[in-house]
Amino acid sequence: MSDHDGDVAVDDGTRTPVALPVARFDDPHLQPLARHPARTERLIALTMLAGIGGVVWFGVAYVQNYSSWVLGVSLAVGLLGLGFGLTAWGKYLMPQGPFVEERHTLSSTEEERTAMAAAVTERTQVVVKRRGVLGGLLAAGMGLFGIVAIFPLLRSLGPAPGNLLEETDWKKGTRLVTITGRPVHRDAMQPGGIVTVYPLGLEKTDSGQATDQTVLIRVQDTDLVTMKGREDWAPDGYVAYSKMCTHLGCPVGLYEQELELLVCPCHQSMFNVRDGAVPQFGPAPRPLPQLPLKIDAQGYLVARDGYNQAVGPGYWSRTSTPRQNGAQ
Amino acid sequence: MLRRLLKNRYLLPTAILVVVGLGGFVGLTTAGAQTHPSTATTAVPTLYTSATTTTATAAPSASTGKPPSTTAGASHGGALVTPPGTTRTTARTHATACRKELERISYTSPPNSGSPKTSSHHSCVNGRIRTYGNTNILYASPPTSFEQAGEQLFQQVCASCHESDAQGGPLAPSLKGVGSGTVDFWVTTGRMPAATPLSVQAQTKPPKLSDRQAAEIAAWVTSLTPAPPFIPAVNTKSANLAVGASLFALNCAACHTITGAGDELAFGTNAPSLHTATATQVAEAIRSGPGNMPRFTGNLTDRQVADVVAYVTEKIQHPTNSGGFGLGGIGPVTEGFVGLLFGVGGLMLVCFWIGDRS
Repeated sequence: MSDHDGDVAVDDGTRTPVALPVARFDDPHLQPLARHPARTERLIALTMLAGIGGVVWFGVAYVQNYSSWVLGVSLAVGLLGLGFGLTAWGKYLMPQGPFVEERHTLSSTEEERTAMAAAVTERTQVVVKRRGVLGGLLAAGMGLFGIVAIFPLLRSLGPAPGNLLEETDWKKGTRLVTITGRPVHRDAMQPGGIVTVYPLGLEKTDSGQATDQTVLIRVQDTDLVTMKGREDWAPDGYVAYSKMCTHLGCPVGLYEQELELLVCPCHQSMFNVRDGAVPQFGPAPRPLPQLPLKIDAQGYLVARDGYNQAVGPGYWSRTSTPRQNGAQ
Repeated sequence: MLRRLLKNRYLLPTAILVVVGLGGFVGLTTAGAQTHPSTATTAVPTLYTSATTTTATAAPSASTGKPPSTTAGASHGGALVTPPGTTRTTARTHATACRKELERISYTSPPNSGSPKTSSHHSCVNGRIRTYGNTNILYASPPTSFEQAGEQLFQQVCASCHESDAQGGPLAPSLKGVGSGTVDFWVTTGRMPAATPLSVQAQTKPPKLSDRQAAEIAAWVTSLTPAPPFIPAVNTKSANLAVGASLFALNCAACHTITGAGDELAFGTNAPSLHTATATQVAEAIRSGPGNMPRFTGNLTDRQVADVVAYVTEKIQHPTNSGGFGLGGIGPVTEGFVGLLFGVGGLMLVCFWIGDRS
């Protein structure tokens, strides 16, 4: 289509005529950017060889099971080498351009415009019929399908939690055991100690480790009363709190015995053990629920009752006040 | 050549990346490390076996879960050994004195959980309990020959705060009944003598006294009011690292972090890094609960403590670091720093270069 004898107007009858420039071999736009293309090419070749070496090294390292960092370094060397080589080739060895292509005028011809206007205004005279019944049935079918398609999504949400978030497995008389299954005797801990306890038999289950987990702390004085109404919840200095932080549920295992502070490691909520785990600092909105304790006839620690409120972080339908039928 | 380099567009961003990156990198990775390695202690029994009598091996330890017996006559399997060459009546007096002393210093506790009376075996010399424990941990008190030197050292170094008979004063608490293991822990880790006596937490620093001097001070302090824990010698040969790992994660990782790098806690306190702790120090800390650290007694048997100690000394202190460089084991801050500064910064430099017009 183009003519190589200098700038010439091209006209093949279908488009508005334009003047196209003629390419010349000494055009500066066609020259590569590099001042010494041969030297640059050798350098890029070396980079690509390094890349090939890196990729092969990765293959060997993978098959031979070398360390992760060897895999990482070899892959990095390989991909960086090949990538740098490719990019440098494009930047420094290709014609640098820029190349501009003149554009034909975009507006349509007069005949095309009149034909278009006629087609739009006279559409009603086109022979394709509207079929209302079929259209309606199709709409109904697609709509129903849309509704039915949501059913698997809804079921995959799982069963409604029901009472699961309100109740734990701690009941009246549940024995406290450690992670190894050993029940906690009243003489087992010295003042200043802390141990994580679970309901008997549930120490290895999911619900036991998730919602039932409780920290048992022994403080120095044996007649600790954390709050009014909890006079007999802490026998012999043993006091138990839910291990689920009331902020976002992290296990509050960090106990500082001299400060008598339970600290949550996630967002640093600090709970005062002596006052019923009231948060002294941090984002926790309410105290850790306390598990009332009792010492049974053989000297083992048991729960006097379950928790009198839901454990863990809040959600909008839960109440923050303890239940009325809580501990006696 | 140099002038061309200085005029290069990439010089400034690369320089920033290198300087900030290396500086932050070095700073963050050395912040988590302690400034001194603590001296390695030899196993305690080899220091003191010359002074101890032969210990009697025990009846098999009681099964877990059984309530500890509180009657005086039924001590859990340990013979009280009297020194050879004593007559029968003095032997009986010795035995009575030993039994009384055993009762006095023990706290009731499940079997083999660090209390002398319920340990598999114990030994007694001249009415004083010398060792107790089992095959997992042997707790030994420093020999009485150390006491004189210990008293001198105490008066020189410790009495200025703890008072000359260790009853404590406005600057320091009483040391009566703390146990030789406790004293040994505080002195060998360098926390004592304290740099600032009234601070909220005594900091570790290079220990001022040698291990032998620490044992001497421990010998004298414990002679005033003997009490457990004695200085432990942990047998990590048959320790179960998997059990140690899970116990560490449950009990220790909250404060010391899962990599043992230590962490800042509340109100100016901190849990120190575990990377330079010896096996003895770890066991002493577990059994004595120094400072704000809780005291783990009855609910961790000696075997479980040995498992935790083995996990700390083997896995925590020699991490595999399959990524090549652990960055101090501090966690997402350093890792994010490296990833964002070097990774994303480097990528930005590369993108700058790719899109650059000349």
